[in-house]
Amino acid sequence: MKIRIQRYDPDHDAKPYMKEYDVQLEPSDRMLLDALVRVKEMDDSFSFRRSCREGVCGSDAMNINGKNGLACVTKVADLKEPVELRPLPGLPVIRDLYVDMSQFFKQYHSIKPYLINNDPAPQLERLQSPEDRAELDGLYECILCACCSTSCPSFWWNPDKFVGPAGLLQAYRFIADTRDQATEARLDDLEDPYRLFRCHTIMNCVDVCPKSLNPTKAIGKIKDLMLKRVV
Amino acid sequence: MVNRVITGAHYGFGSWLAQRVTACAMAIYSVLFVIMLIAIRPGDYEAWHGMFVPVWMRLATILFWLSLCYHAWVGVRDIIMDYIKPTAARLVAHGLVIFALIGLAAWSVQILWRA
Amino acid sequence: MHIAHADMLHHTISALYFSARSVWVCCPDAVHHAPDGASQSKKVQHDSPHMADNNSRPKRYAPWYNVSPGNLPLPGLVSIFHRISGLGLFVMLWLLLWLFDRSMVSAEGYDWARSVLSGGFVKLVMTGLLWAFLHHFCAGIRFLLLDMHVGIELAPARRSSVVVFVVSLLLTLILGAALVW
Repeated sequence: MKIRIQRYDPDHDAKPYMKEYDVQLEPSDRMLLDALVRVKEMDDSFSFRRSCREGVCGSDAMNINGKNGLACVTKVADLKEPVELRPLPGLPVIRDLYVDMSQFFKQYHSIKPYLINNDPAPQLERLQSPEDRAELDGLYECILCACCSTSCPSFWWNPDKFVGPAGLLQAYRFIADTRDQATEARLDDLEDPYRLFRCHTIMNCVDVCPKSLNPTKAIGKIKDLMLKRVV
Repeated sequence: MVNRVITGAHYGFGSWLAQRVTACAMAIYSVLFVIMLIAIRPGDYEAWHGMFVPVWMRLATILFWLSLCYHAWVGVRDIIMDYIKPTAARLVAHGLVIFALIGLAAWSVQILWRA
Repeated sequence: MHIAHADMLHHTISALYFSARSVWVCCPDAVHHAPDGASQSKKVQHDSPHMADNNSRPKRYAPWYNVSPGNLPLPGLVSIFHRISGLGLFVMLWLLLWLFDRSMVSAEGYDWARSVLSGGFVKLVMTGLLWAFLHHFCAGIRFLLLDMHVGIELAPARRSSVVVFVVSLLLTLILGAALVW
């Protein structure tokens, strides 16, 4: 299997370049991550992030044949050869497929990704009805792999000001939570030409999400609430 | 102060909504206008000019142009926000677009209400 | 799934996630703040080949952008054409209003506008503008439907993008034949 990988070593390279590897796959190598481990065996200077190898940790997000995805859940058989691998777009490259994700996490933290509830904590837990809990489906599953935000042109052009699809999905996750009491402040925070309204429903985020989540829909629901409170 | 990122202008929903409302208004007008064109097929000046004589048609047309100006302002501002980064250049670009669109609106009023 | 359990699972995953990150990424990253993604990375790109060791922060290369149209999903293609067509219409507005102005002022002006519009090149430009308008119109209706959560899932969003391209091109052919040529 032929794999072309964007390589960049800050100590030796002035800029990134593409390097091709011809990998012998074993029958048990079914996912792209297995192939990358083979590449690493051939050339140990090649660096990439990985951890859980089953689509839960979100570490091995990369640009695969022009589309963002997780190497560990991408089947080798589905890929057109040579497979072109690049780091996630829109983020500074530290080395090979490593990217600097600080901007992404800064935006995630900016939406206060935790429950805000000033009532005294009950003995055991804050309860929800099953219907209220169902509101969080399609929101809490996000693994913060950054596939969506780094495929979003709005995030490319304004990564410092636009929260991005991942952060906005999480913003709605807490707005939608009946145990959270800060809905008004959260809406105020997002009522902003940059933070929320850079989203133009381009929907690249929905196209790439390895968890099949829908940030565009979540953003639409935030806009619904904003409409509800002014009319 | 080195490159501090400032957000929190707390506007955006209004423009977003206005862009959609003006879009609906323009869509309705466009469809009706095309139907009128195909139905009347104005072949000379009298017929063409005559289309814009009734007051309701003038009002509808001017509402179309004003909607267009507001719609274009929001859209072009979005483009400027993506591709023009320095604050001064952006401010100048915003100003130019606003003046150009106000001019356009005034001109369309003048065309429709000229004797 | 039980409520508290689901939430706890999520937080455990996040915690695992962050710990994985801190193991893999070298330490200076944690204290590094990027105040402005774009300008910062540009500077780094310029400096990186020759940056001396006195800077302890790891060097970073400027991000790349996945802008090739071949890489764009169909809904993304509709969106960028919506922007391009909108900008094109905005730029050409003054020309259109000028023609409208002349055609409304007198019979001579009307004849002059007609003669301008009968030129082959002008007809081509007008057809382009008609396509821009119709694409903007169709894509706009699609966006309005998305705003109302109609067709917001991936499969319908892809299908409606194809519909936008096909319908706007067909309408350009029909209306172009009826009104421009």
